[in-house]
Formats: sequence, structure tokens, C-alpha cells
Amino acid sequence: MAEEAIRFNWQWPAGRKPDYKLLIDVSKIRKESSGLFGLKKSESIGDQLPEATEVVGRVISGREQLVGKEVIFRAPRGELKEVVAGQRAAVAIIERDNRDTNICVCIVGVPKNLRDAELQAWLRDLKCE
Amino acid sequence: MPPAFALTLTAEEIEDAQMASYSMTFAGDQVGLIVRGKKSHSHEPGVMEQHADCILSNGAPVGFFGEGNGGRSNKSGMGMKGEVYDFAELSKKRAPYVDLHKAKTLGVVSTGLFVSVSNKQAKLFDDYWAALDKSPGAFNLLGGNCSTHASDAFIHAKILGGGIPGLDTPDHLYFQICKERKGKCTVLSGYFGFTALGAGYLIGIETV
Repeated sequence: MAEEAIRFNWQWPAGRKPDYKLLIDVSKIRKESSGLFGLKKSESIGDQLPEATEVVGRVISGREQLVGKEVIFRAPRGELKEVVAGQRAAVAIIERDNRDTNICVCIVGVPKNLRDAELQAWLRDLKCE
Repeated sequence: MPPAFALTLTAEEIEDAQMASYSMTFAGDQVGLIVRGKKSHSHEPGVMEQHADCILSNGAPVGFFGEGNGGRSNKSGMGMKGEVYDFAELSKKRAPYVDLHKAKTLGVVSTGLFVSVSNKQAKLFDDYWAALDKSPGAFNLLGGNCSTHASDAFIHAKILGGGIPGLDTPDHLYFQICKERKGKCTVLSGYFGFTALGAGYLIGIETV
């Protein structure tokens, strides 16, 4: 049986520092379903996002126990910076904040011209704002 | 002469305030209703496209949201847990509601209704939200939503005489306040931002 993808929900950084960063291979970027009668889209539901989008991918590096796993990140479309299906992206994660866990605070596509030797430094310096 | 807030804000915050068409602080004699998704006084957003937040008498944004019981996967919109989001929580979960740059980037437009009230009414309004924060109860899309609690705050403060006419929606509450508090309201539509300033908040609005 196929292993279920690990899901991460979006929050804005609000001055918080990520606990870790992941490098992923992006396989798909899709619009999130708005549900029956659009109920999922109510602006008053806490986890509603503007143009909610799902980024599906597989972890290349960053957290040993997640390497090779399929992951899905929810994010506002407007917060996806240069994220393209078929390319790599970096994701910054906060593990827990009050009752919320697996929080994604930024997703940024890896620059196409970046050499592998430069990747770790780029990932380390990546700022989420 | 530089603006009065120049000594206490960062360069980015000053830029935000200057970029705004309007910036204001509250001095304990105003409270506000913000209808998210409402692009102008006459615009009537769809029921699912609007949300009500309030502005306390020190300029702080506050709102009531539904969480848990499946969140956005909850198909009925009923039986969810209510939560009061203050500035800190809004910054994490609704940044475009409190950050002018994010509002512009993500196209999140709001209409604010600023209501002149007495100091006593302002205190009662603030007290309502403080009590709700301690015991928020349940959230229901019908009759226990963001606008129901915003309405209750205005009623508790004796700014309004009764509940929202018709369905509890932010826009119905907006027009009720406009009607019942005629001559005591100011309206601005645009991108909203809030910046902590002293004991309160600087509200920046860039009109659209």
C-alpha cells in the first residue's frame, strides 16, 4: 500500500525562525478544492488561505526521517516564489506553535543556475519574510 | 519636520506608514469594524468572501475565527471551535489582514468603518473582546460566526441597540452600523496594515 503523503499547513513567519529547512523535488502544483458549496472557502475559517494551492513533492534532503517521503504543502498562490513543477524548491518549517504542528512558513524555488556546491550556502541563507 | 512616529518605528514601518494614503491612531474614543473582501462602501461581497474583524479602542485588530473539527474540511461549517485572533495570531494566520505589503501583494482589500464612541462605550467594547478571548465557545457559520460576535461587541458597548437584521454577515452588520450610527462613522476601503506603536497601533490604509 502506498504511504500517505505528509501534509504541512501554511502560516506566515511573523518574525519566527524556522526549525529546519527541506529541499524537495516539486512534482505538482495544484489549486486546492473549495469543497461542497464552497464551504472550505469561508474567510472566517482559521486555515483559509488566499488562492490556496498545494505543492506536492518528494524530500531530497534536510531531515533524515523525511528524505524520500512524499510531502504536500498548502500555501497561498501569491507566496510561492519561483516554485515550478519538475524543479527543486526549498521549504522552511516550524515544527510546533501552540496546537499547530508541521507549519510551512515559506517555499522558494531553487535558482536554476545555482551550482550544487552553492546549494547548501543558499539554503542556509534563505530568509523567510 | 519628521512625523511624530519616526523615532519609534523601523525604517520599513515608516515606509509602510508613508506609503499608506491614510494613517491614524485611536485615542480611546473610536472603535471599528473591518469587512474583509468588501472593496467599497457599496460593494456587497459574497457570503463566503467576507469576514468581520474589529478594531479596539487602542487601534488593535481582533477577530473571531473557526478552528478544529476538520477546519476547512468541515463540510457543514458547524461545530467548530471558536478562537479570538489578536494582532500576533493574525500576523501568523492572516498576515494580509494586518500587513499592508502582504495585503497589496495578495490583493486582499477591506473596508473599515470607524465609529466615534464615548470612552465608556469604548471600554465596554474592549471588555467584550477580552472576555470572548478567555471563553470563545463554539464557531458556527450560521448564527455563531465572526459577524455574530462583532455584533455582540457593538451591542454590549451600547453602540447598537440590537442584532444584525437578517442573516449574520459582516456586510449586514456594516450597513446596520452605518444606519444606526449615521453621522458618527468614517469609511475607508483599501489595503490595511497595523503597526504596534506605544500602547496601541498605527493603522495604515492605502486606498484602492
